[in-house]
Amino acid sequence: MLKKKLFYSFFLAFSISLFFIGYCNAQKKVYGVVKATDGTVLPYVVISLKNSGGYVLRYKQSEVDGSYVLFLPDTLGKAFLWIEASRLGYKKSQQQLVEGKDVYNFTMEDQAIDLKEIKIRPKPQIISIGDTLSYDVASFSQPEDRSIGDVIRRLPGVSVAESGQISYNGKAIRNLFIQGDDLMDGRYGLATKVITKEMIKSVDVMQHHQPIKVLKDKVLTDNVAINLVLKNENSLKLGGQATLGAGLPEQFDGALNAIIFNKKFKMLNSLQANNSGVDYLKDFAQLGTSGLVSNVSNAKPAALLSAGTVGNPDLPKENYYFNKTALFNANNLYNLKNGLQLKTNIQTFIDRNTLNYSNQVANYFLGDTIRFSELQSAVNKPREIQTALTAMVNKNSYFLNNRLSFNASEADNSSFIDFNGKAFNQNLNAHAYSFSNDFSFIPAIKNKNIIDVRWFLSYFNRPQNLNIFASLSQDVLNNGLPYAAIGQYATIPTFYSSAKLAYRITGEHLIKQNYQIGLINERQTLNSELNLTQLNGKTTDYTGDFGNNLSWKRDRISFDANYYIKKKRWQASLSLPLTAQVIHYQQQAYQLDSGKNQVFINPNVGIKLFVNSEDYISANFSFNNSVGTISDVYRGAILTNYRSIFTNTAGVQQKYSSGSGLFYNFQRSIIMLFINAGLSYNKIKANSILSSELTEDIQRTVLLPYKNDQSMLSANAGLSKYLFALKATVSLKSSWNSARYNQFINSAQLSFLNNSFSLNATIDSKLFGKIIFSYAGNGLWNSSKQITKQAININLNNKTKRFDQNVSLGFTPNNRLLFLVKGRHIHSQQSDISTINYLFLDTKIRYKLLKWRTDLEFDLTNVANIKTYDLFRLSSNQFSVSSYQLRGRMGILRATFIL
Amino acid sequence: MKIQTILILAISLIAVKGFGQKGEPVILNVIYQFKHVNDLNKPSKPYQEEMILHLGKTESRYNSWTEELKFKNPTPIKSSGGGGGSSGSANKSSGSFGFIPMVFVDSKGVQDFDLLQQPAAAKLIRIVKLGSYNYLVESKLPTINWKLYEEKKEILGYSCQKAVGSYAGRTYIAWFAPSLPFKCGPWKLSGLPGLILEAVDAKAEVSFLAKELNKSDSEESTAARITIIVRVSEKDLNRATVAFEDDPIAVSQSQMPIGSTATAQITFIDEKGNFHGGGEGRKLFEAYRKDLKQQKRNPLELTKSN
Repeated sequence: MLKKKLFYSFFLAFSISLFFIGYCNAQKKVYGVVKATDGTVLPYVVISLKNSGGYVLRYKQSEVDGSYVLFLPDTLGKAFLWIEASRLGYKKSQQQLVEGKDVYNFTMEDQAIDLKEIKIRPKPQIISIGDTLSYDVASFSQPEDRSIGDVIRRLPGVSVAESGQISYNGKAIRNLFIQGDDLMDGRYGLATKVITKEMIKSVDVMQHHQPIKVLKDKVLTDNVAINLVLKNENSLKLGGQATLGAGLPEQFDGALNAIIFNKKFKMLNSLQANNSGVDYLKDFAQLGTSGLVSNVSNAKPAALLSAGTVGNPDLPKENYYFNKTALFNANNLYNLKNGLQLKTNIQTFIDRNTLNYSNQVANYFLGDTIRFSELQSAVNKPREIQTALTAMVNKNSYFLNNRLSFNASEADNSSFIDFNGKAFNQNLNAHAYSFSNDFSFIPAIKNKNIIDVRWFLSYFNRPQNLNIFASLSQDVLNNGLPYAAIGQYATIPTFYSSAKLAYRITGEHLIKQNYQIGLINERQTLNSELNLTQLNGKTTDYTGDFGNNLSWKRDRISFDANYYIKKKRWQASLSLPLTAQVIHYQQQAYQLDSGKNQVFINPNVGIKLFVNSEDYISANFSFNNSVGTISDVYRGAILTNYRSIFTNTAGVQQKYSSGSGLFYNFQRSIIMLFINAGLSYNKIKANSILSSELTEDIQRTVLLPYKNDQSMLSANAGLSKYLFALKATVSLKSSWNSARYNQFINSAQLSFLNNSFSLNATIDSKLFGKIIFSYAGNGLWNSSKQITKQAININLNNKTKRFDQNVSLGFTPNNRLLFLVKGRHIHSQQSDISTINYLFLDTKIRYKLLKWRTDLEFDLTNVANIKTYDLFRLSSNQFSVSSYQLRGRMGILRATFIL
Repeated sequence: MKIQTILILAISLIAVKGFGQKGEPVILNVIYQFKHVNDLNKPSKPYQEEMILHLGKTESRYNSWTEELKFKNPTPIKSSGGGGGSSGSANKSSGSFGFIPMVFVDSKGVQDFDLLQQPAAAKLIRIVKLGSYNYLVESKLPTINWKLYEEKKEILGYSCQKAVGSYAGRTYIAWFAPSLPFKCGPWKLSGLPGLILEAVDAKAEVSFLAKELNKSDSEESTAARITIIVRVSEKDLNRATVAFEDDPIAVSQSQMPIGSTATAQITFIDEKGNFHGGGEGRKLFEAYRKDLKQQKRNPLELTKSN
């Protein structure tokens, strides 16, 4: 065997060598070097052997050192053969072959190339100009589409959320412009519903958008904006639509919308009313920023008083919103000749809604459990008017913007309450007024750097009155004597001013720099009064304290330096805001005259490393020094609801928090495997702690000056994989959270440990053809327990489980008809209580009458007619079960006519 | 299960790094009319497209001209008199091209987005867009054993000589212009001592006919138009291509980040290169798939290339 192999190899080698000897003998060759006129060698020159007819017979390319070797066919003599060297950009060079000469060197002269001009083609449907993608509406819309929102939904790369928020490639847009104008002031929900596709020529998606002309090409952004380009920017025609709907039981839904858009004047006005669970707050929700500048306003102080103790259920609002609502939404914009733009945005909202629920709360203590049983039947009557007037000049030389806003609202809540078997009526009335002015000026300066001036000024006040017609907690509130009613008044009028001056160094520096100096002034007063109406009809003050008339001053100056660096695979950013703050608060009745002066720095560092084109690791660290608010230092007791009293004995809360995180993103898109994982740790050190004292009918909470440490560790991971065999995408997400915190409950400091784990699975198989199927399931495991430190131990070890699963199945026999069924199953389980199961079913049929310019839609929701919904909540030592009233089965038919 | 894990890991080791190729300044552009009888049942209805070959000193990039124009800055209309000016933004637009997350389904199937010839390094680089990702496959530049003939014909004013060579199961009759000394050529054809201005396969099922030559703007480059590219093996790409051609929506959906609620939408590109989005796109796609089943497919490459 081996011998045979050896023989073959020998034979092969022998024959090859024989062949080569013969071949080489027969070959004649020419060779040489190609150089340019300056003596440098020229590679990649085509060396062709041509005959007298000009045909190429053999060819070669010169090597990197300019040399070439060309073998000649043995059948030809050298006579009448030419050798030619050619390379673009050089003059062609030829030499005739001479018998007996084998070396032919070339020296090539430079020569410019002369060719024709570029050709132009017709305009396509999607054009990309720099960072702008322009979608032609006519090419993307369908006959059954009515609004521009319908078309936007179809645009590849663009998605529209349930809230109406538009995203491009997963990133929410910042502004929705109509022919370059931000008519809706960021509240664009109504615009996409009401503007017809016929009015719009193209939808332009602008990435890295910088709307302020002075900053263009100087300050880069990551913002995405959409511009609706009008077909006729000089149109004076009135457009819009009218909707009429009716259904059972006793349902109506109506809308009238009017639109005029042209270069000089833009108007979008709408009048709507319904009692069928449609929430208009969505129509004027702030989906983008108002105007072109980012938001700098302060957070309004939270309402001190509330009517109830239970939050909203985790179901879509349509399920539990028993309403009768009307809305008027007017948006008008004028462009004047001198470049000044004036804009008014006014929303008026009137609503009457009801909410019915019952709630069982168990508070676990040392060998004791205090239970609250509550039932509330509330009628809410909110009324609201929001107005904004904006004047803007956006020129290449400067940017000037002033937005003046005035809002007023009234909310009246009357409810019947049964608390631990005691029935009574309650009323909460709140009036809120707010005023704000936002001024911005950005001039261009000669050295290309940028100055940015901003001044925001606001005033806000929300007086609240809570009247409870019952004698509750008389031991605490009325020296043990029964009384007829109790009234709590509370308000925090707030004046806030924020001014800043920023200097940006633009240009091509390795490190991008931004320096900013800011000044914040805050003035607040917290006023509250607690009155009791005695059984004899006389009104007396609460005698436990002097009430609140606390004044608060906060002044803050900060210097902020920001650096950003990007080099090769690394990206890093550093922010160093240095702040000096002076806080002073006083109320003489309590001999309270205190304050806090401090200088601190809140650094923030982020770093990102691209491991390869698909993977990256990022890490960040931040340290934050924050101080509390006026709500932490008031001394007089406030009855925040019928069963809670709050007061404070501590100073301003000081919080030191640090956070660090590590994130890894791994993807192999070719096998469609995506994995991400993250780990974060947050620690908070505070100098005060909430202490609660519970009795059978009231919870008294005090903020005490004790050290309070909290920590949270969380880990999350996600995986998404395309299953080639099943042709479906499966994704799994999980997160684990562990939080430690302290609470003072009935004079004992208790430490708690909350652990939660959630698992989320989705399967999306968008089958081609007429059937759509999707599944989303979510599982949540939650446990809360006390960490035993001393002998004190309350017997709390609660565990809950919850599974929420959604299935949707759709059928579209043709473009005009859609049939959809959605199912949702909720399963909850708590260790002591029996399990809860729900199955919600909704169906929808839609048909488009193309000729009549009308859409017909029939919705049948909550087919199983579920009228109550129970929900578990678990936190520290408290466990609650809430039961809400739902709207039940509803059917409604809507017709929409396009004007 | 274990084998799968190992496989995934093995692949993850191969698929590394982006594509940092500089390219050469473009000297000459050639626009070819490309025809391919891809369905033998319909020989009279070949697939047609205008392709462009961007030629640099030694390298080239070959891609669809129709598509390149679609995403190119339309402003050259303004600069047609003076020339230039448009190329800067054209480069920019090709940069943003990589971020368009549309699910393009082309009536001609998954095609090479860019095809780069680098004869100096003997490399052929294919760049393929699949869903929202861009992939790169590198292979050896095919060496075609061209036989030269003493026949001449004039194409676009250039005197061309005949050459015959075989590649991937087809024999091509090519006409090259010795006065245009470019080694690169249309598609995967190359290696002649002059630019190939015409190439037709012996069965007349595939043809590349030059219809226009133009000089490039100074800033254009032969580099790939996309820089965010994942390098993969040919085998992996082929598997993904099959899955994509079968169900592009599902594949694109699976490419989105975990937990993404955005839904992929199909944009069907018809034979004329027009885009159809939404329901219409889906309808056309279904019709196209039905049609595919009845086709007698005639691929460009009949055998595995050498």
